[in-house]
Amino acid sequence: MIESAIDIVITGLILGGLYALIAVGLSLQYGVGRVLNVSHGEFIILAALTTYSLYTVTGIHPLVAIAFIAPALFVVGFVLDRTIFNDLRRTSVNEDHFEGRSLLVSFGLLFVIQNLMLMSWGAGLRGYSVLNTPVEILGNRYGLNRVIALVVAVTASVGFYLFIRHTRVGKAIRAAAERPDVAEALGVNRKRVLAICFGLGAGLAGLAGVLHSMMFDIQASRGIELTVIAIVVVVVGGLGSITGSLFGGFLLGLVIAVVNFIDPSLSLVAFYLIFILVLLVRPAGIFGRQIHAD
Amino acid sequence: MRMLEVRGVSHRFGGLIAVDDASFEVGQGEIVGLIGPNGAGKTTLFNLISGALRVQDGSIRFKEEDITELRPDQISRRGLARTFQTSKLFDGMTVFDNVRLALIYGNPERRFKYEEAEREVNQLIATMGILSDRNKPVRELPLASRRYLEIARALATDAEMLLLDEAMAGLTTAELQQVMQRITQLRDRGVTILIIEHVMEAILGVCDRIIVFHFGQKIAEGVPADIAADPTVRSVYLGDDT
Amino acid sequence: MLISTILSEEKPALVAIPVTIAAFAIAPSTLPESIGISLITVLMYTILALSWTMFSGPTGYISLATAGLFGVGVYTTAFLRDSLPLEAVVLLGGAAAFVVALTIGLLTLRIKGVYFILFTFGVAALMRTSVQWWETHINGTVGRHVTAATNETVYLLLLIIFAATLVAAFLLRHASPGLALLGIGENEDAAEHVGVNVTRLKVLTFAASSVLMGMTGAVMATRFRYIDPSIAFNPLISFLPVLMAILGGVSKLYGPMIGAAILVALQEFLITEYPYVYLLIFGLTLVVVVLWLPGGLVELAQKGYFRLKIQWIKLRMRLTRFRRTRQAKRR
Repeated sequence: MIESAIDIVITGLILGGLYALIAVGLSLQYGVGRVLNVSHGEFIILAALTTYSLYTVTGIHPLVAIAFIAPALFVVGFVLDRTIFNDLRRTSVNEDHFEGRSLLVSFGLLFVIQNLMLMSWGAGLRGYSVLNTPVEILGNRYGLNRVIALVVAVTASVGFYLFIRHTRVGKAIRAAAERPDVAEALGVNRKRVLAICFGLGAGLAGLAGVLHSMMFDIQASRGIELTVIAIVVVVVGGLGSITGSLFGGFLLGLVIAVVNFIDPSLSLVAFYLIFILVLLVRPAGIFGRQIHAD
Repeated sequence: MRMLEVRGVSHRFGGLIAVDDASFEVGQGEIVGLIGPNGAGKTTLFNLISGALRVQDGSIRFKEEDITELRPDQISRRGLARTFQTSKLFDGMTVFDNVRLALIYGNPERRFKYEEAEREVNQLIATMGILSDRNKPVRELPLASRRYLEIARALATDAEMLLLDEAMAGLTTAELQQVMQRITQLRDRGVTILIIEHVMEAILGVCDRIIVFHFGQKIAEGVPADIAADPTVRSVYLGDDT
Repeated sequence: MLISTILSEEKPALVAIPVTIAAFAIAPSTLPESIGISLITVLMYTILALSWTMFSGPTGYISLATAGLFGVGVYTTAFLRDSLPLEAVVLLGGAAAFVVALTIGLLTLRIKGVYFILFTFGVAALMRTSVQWWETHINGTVGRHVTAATNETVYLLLLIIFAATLVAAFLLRHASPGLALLGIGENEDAAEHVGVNVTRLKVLTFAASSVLMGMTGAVMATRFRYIDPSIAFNPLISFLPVLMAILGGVSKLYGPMIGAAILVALQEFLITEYPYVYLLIFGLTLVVVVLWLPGGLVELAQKGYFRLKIQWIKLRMRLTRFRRTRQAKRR
């Protein structure tokens, strides 16, 4: 009984680490750029499938692949923001208008990326195994790959948090998010910061994708579920709040671990149920900004 | 008759007290000014009166009827209309349609139908002097015309009382004179007016009475001459310590 | 009174609507059979795109719940097909969708913008996954068979629903609620302050448009013959009408219809051989249209019409000048 409980907790943490990472990326894109990027999950799957191909074809180890994939996706994200979303910002009447349009555009991107992946990798399940040696933690066994993935995820998330809080670039990002007019007056190049943030979000998605491929099998069409997870975490933790995404990720991981323990096939239902409940109850999230009555 | 009675109304946003135990009245046919430094709670007060914000404490009566719990559309249909500090016109619609919508929905008794409204709408628009613009989309209008349209739209709901929120901001001296004239004309036609304003000459020129707010509290009330001379008011506005 | 206004303002529409309906009515008998069958899909998506536009067009509340409401209709037929006449089942499908939409509407009273879009998407997805779980675990099988109806019956029923949709959408646009919905879309606070009961109007319009979606689903179930949650609540059924409406342009009634025609035609060409290519094009079109053609093809058409008019005026001016110089020379 205790073992089951511990198993749930640790599984929850492993899932949670991944969820937190996924959510931080999305939170950055929305918190700063106000783009609710529903194609986020597709970036993750793209990275996962690329890792899979790199490993099975050329034998490049996933942890090494991170060094190519994350920056590559950063560039993709940067360019996308600098071109498409920047254009949308320029031509939108107000923030709500922009948010709605960018959401639609990111749905469009979702279809584009997903179907490019389907055309390249097909619809079936793909997987590989690496670092599969079992590791014993508190009486339960877990694959080393999962433990490493967890460690990397947590390190990346915390590292990113520190980056945002304490570095100059990080502070510029926060300034651009909270007071864009002031930031611009102080010499922050707003367009570049926005593009960097979107790119960072994509880069984090890339990292998450590599880790995901180490832990689970991959299917080209399952990106949307990851996006839903990200959105749930971001909304629960507060849109734009990095801390919130971190906590929210682990919280959701635990919840899903519990659900999986009860009935694994319920997890999808649980995702969407939590999703709409969260939107109903606290759109501003636990940590995030309150919506003012204005 | 007392058109508007505000009794003990308070409102807090989280820890911030925006309006603190506000009480005042506006009599029928008066033009009353509501002044105070930025952040004094004036627009919040308007939001509470018009139903845009839920009243947490206190009560509001309009024409002897308790409107504290009513929705904005219900309040509007009872004859209490307002304009907004940040323009809330229907930008993509024409001037005509802006007023027509208000006419149709703001008049429970007259029940204007979609196709009957033309004459009334034109009349209202003409009263505010923007008849020639009536088929233009609102976003093409200059600032003064937009202000007039806001008022025309508010009037279309058969308003007996008008809450004007900073209708004069950004207007030239000439335009200011015109707006002041129109406001007086409205009062002469029977509309009671409560106006938030920063432009002092407008307030002093047009109001019968002035209420002064500071940090959400009413700190003074009286005729313009008295208010201008009131030491508390002067210290709040001018930092006077004499 | 309403009639006189409509007669004076909207002559083209008054002619176009019956003509369109008549065209759809005679089309199957005049076109080859394969296209006739595609027309069923065209009608289905035209109805969905038009009914989606009834609410989401003027208000700007982009709903992705269409698949959920359509699916409710599908499952109504799946359950009741063999117990009741088809017409009754279709009506019940509409009624069921109405109830579901009413619930969604009442739940989302304070939800706006992206939250609304996400919420409606989540509701449809929740419906799909819940029914999937239920069918698999409680009923043992995931799909159901629906007694078929002839293509003619399906087409006729859809035609009736289409006619109803077109007329309803037209009447809505030219009545007070249509203006009020536009007001809500422009500035909801202001609309409320000029006397519009915003909540009631939003919920009722959303629910009314859903009736048409539910009825369409109920009819299409007999065409699908085999249904399961991923068919009944297929997310594409939410996304396609949105793109069709945006591509065509929501400011005119014919916009969503043109968008539907184009995308269904594209689908029919590509879906069997290249399903992924089709969806890829769908995604690209969505991006391009939102970025560069926000008013849709209607906007293009209007600009085109404008330019044509200007050319025509210029031409006439030149002709007049030419005639005058000739007359002057003769004297």
